[in-house]
Amino acid sequence: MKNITKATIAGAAGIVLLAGGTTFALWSDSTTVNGGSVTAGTLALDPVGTPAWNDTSTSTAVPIADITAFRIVPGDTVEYTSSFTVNATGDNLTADLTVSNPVAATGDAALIAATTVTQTFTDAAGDPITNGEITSDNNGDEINVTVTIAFASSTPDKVAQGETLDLSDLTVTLQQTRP
Amino acid sequence: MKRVVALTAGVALVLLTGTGATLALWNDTETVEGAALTSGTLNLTIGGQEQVAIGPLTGLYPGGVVATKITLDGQASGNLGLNFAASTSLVNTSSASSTLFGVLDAQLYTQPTSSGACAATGTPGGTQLYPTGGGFGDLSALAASGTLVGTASDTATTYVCVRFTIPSGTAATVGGIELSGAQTSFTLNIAGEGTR
Repeated sequence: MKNITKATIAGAAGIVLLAGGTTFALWSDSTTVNGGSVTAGTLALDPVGTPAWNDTSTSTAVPIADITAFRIVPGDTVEYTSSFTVNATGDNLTADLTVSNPVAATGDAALIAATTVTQTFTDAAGDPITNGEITSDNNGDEINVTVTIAFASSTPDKVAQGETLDLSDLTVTLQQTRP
Repeated sequence: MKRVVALTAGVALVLLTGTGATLALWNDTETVEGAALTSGTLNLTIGGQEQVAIGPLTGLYPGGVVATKITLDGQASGNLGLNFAASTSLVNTSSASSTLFGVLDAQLYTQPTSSGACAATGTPGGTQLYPTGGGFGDLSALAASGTLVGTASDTATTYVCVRFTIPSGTAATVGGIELSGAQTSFTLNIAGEGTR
């Protein structure tokens, strides 16, 4: 019984080897399909021009040549504007535009309390960019970042005089998102 | 129990992987250098002080005049200007003091320079702010206002000439109070207010 089993296994192994040797010798052909190239998209912000400060306290904006020499008083509104070109390509590319809060918590508490800071994004036509949402449709668009600092006219007595508001480095970020 | 541990580990691994994938998406950040924004000042002083004594002014009699001059220094930064308003208030409320205070008349002039005339005799130089119709008006009703610092300027100085008198013909005794030798104590308040 044992001898019969061994003989059967050895026979089967011999057949497999023989069949394998026969397959290598048969005809074969191959062809190449040109897959082209796959190019990655882009996502970047490129600064345009020089950022500017303006005194917008009245209906006529007045340029502020040196913001460190400007003295803000109750009722004043000053605006910082900066422009960037959106470089966004990619069929499925979506991104969010955000700007950091420029007011450092280390500034004078009374002055921080008396001032209101708002940030807005607008396109070249001046229309707001809703929630800072960017797609490849915005590629090449110029966007404007505006930071407005308003000093409440209701500030009484001699509150917050001669103090400094520390505007820390302002960062504008374009962050890719996935649905 | 072992099965529970294995499941928990599996969930934790998935969460970590998910967080890592979000950070890997593209982003670009542009930095704008920070700046310091400084608030201005609004300040009004009399000869550099918050409070000064301009008396005692003595020797006043019916028809007589005493004069004093004070220096108003104003500072108003940026888009602010500074207006001032003068008024009087009685300090010593005794009968003699309040009676004399009620009898006294005053006039107030502003002068652009320190050399403006401000004497017991003659007419003071500058512009009369109180009373607006000329002459003297009640000291207790003194009210005068003007612009000290224009919005286009940061600082300015104005000289204020104040003259006091007991009107001619005032009776020696008023309301049972003999005016001769009487004293009154009052303050001349000058309040500054920022304007745009």
